[in-house]
Amino acid sequence: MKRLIPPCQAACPVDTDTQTYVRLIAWGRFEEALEVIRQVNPFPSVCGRICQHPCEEKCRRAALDAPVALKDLKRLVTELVAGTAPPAEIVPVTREKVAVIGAGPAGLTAAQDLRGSGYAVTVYERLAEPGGMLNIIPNYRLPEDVLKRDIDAILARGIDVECHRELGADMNLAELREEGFKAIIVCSGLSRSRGLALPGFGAERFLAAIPLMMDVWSGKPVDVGRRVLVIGGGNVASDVARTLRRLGADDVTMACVESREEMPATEEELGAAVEEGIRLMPSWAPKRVLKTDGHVAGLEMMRVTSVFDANGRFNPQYDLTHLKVVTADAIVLTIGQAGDTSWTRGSQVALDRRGRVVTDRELHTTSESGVFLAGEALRGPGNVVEAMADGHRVASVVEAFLTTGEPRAPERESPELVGEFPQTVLENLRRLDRVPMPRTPSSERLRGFREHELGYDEASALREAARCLNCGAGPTIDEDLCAFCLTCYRLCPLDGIEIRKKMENTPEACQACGLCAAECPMGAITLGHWEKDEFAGQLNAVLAGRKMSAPSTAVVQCVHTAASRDDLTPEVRSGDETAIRLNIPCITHLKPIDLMLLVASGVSRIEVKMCDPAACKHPAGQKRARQVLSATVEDIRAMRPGVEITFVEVEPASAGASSA
Amino acid sequence: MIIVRQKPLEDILSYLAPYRNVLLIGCGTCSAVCFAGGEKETEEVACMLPLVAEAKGQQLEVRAATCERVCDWEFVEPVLNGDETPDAIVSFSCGSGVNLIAEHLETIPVFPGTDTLFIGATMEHGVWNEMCLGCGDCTLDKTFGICPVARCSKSILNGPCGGSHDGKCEVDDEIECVWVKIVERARTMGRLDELGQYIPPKDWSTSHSGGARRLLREDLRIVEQQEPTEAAVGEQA
Repeated sequence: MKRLIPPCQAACPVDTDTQTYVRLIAWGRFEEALEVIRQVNPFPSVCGRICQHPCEEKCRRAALDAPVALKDLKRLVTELVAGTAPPAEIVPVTREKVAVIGAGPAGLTAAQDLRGSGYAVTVYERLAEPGGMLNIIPNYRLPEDVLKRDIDAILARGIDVECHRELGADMNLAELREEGFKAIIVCSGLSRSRGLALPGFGAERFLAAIPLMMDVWSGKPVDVGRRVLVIGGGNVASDVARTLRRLGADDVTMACVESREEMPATEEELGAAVEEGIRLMPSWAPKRVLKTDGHVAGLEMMRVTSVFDANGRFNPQYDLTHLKVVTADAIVLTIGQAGDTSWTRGSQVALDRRGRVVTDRELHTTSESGVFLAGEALRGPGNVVEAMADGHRVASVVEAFLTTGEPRAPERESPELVGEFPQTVLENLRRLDRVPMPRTPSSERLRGFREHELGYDEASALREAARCLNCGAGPTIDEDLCAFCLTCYRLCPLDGIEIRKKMENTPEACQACGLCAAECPMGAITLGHWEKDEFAGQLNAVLAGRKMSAPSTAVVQCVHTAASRDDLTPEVRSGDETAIRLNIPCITHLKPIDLMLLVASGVSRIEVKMCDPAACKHPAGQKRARQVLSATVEDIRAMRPGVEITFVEVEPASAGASSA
Repeated sequence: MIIVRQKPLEDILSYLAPYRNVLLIGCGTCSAVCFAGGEKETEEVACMLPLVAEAKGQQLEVRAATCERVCDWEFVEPVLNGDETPDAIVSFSCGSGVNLIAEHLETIPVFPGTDTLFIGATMEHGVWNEMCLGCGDCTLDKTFGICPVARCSKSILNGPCGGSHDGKCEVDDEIECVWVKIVERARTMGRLDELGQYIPPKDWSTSHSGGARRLLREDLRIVEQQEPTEAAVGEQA
């Protein structure tokens, strides 16, 4: 059977191997977890803060309780590891020069990929710092040093950045060609706020979001008065509203044409905005700006009756008999951004009748050979992870272009996904609360731009990572070895095995508890996350790494009993004695022979640590494993009377830590 | 299938006193399915046997290999072609596998790792019941598909006997009286009257009582084609 892709991974625009990094976190292997993330994501720290996490939207746990907090887990590993990770190796330059216009997430991702393939890459940035629009995300959501950490790691791979260099203003395409650039990738983003031709437009303090946020970023004084009306219902509107609250506006309203349910901002953002005292005014559209002495005095608004037409197109309808006036000292428009195409002047890059660059959206090409478009400049508004995905794609196209002379889009595989839970399974799964993100109270937040989400600690991360359901990581049954004994079929607590022409796993039901693999009499079952001889391999590695003679004590523990990485090391010290420690995903994975191997290696005292049955992810499996292993223990005791084996039930240590 | 049960390790060890290099052969068919001698169990024995031996002052080197079926020599032969010829073999198949190995290996001793119990079926995971005695003359047509030969302690064909109490056999309370089951099934099927017919005594010569049995099917045997001899050619002419 083809190994299935978990829905979280399939939902990630850059195809992050979500399940693997979450498992590595649960095992305390944070460095490896970050490595897995970095394979596809040059902005792990940024994503740990502000990613819109489509992965979480698709997490199958949502049907049970709440999605695994993938973004928050990612944040923790970047916090704990990013600073300590060795710098990436610089690949020698062996290929052509490539220019990237715009040092936002799309541009820097493309730059990193191409640099990694041996191209000499220079990134030109219009602003004073690389980072693009990420720079103007307020510090309380994305602190500057966090953004800088990712950017520094990218640039450390040998990428040149020239700031204050704007294509179309400071240089043009022809000049870049003369400098020897064989391909030019334009990722100039959407840097201009869209305007609105309202009566009264042009009043003082009638502001556009991007220039306002640029001023805030660059530290210029911003005077908006006390009462501010923000027009727009997306994340930028929320950023503006929440920023202005922190800058002293004490009466801030967000008004938008969309209804509350239709508002494009994430629920997290809107929830935080409301907590900070921002009023939401959904289903209202601006009609006329009211002025006093040339200043904004308020806005006349009209009731919106519907936003989208029958074809789903944006086509708002109004009730002109239902009007309202909102008084305000300033109005900020955040109703979308537009790109700047002035860089195309004097080149062969053609624009269409509406002034947009003519492009092939698959191939990123423009009408001038060697000039490519990517990121929001090509796709329209998006989020950081979508921008990175586009950066990867354009890099792949450009590499094909420079190698063969022909741009070629990377092939996209359509993954086979794990489907919905059967109802009977859903009823039998243990609910585990999502570990809440600690936050500063809203009353304290408004005092400044300090981040208000404080991040998980290690224990919380271990506990949260344990919630992953390992979708699709269940058994693969080797039909050459299978004796059709039906053990797996009969044992599975969730009816996760079917009898077809051969025994087959039903991934929708399976929770990868491992019971079938542990009990298969023919060793025919391998799990996605636990190899057949993984225990023996771990034991050999631990023994080989020891200077001392054979250990007398071994702790075999479910990883979910650990509260910190120190609880997961291969050696455990207690007083003068050292014992070896072997980690397993749950005692459902432990086979009788694993205990026998410990005895054979000279261990005379074995402690099997397992989660309290009331907290174990696999309650039925755990009970079964305990029954089988207890019989093994009896056998071992009969044969080797000196050997002591105990089972210890522990409250998952991290559970206690997080409730503290 | 053939139901087998693994022998105690002490018993196995007792066979092996004079030997050092021992090969355990697992069977991937019946023994595996009743958890007595598949790959998992033979590996467990291979792990524990040297430890138990050591405690008794005996040195053993044990390796395990499992084949599809020990009752077909073609499966067994490859596992014997290891680097080292063992001093002794323990087979975790049913008795027929042990016999077959002994038939083929003249000088290497072979021992049973299991007790062969009966021909049976799985009632639930971990529970097997005897269902057939291999009498060689099946009369299940007369007893509604339930076998008194195998499942009645006396193998009587016209039951139940006076030792049947509350559906149990007088031999052991754990044994159900199979004749009660036969009668109940006949009643359920509305064919109780058929049980009034007397079943005559069996001819037991088809069973083991007639001596060791052999099934020979000429239609299936692979007979080597021989070059016709001159005499044979002459005869034909």
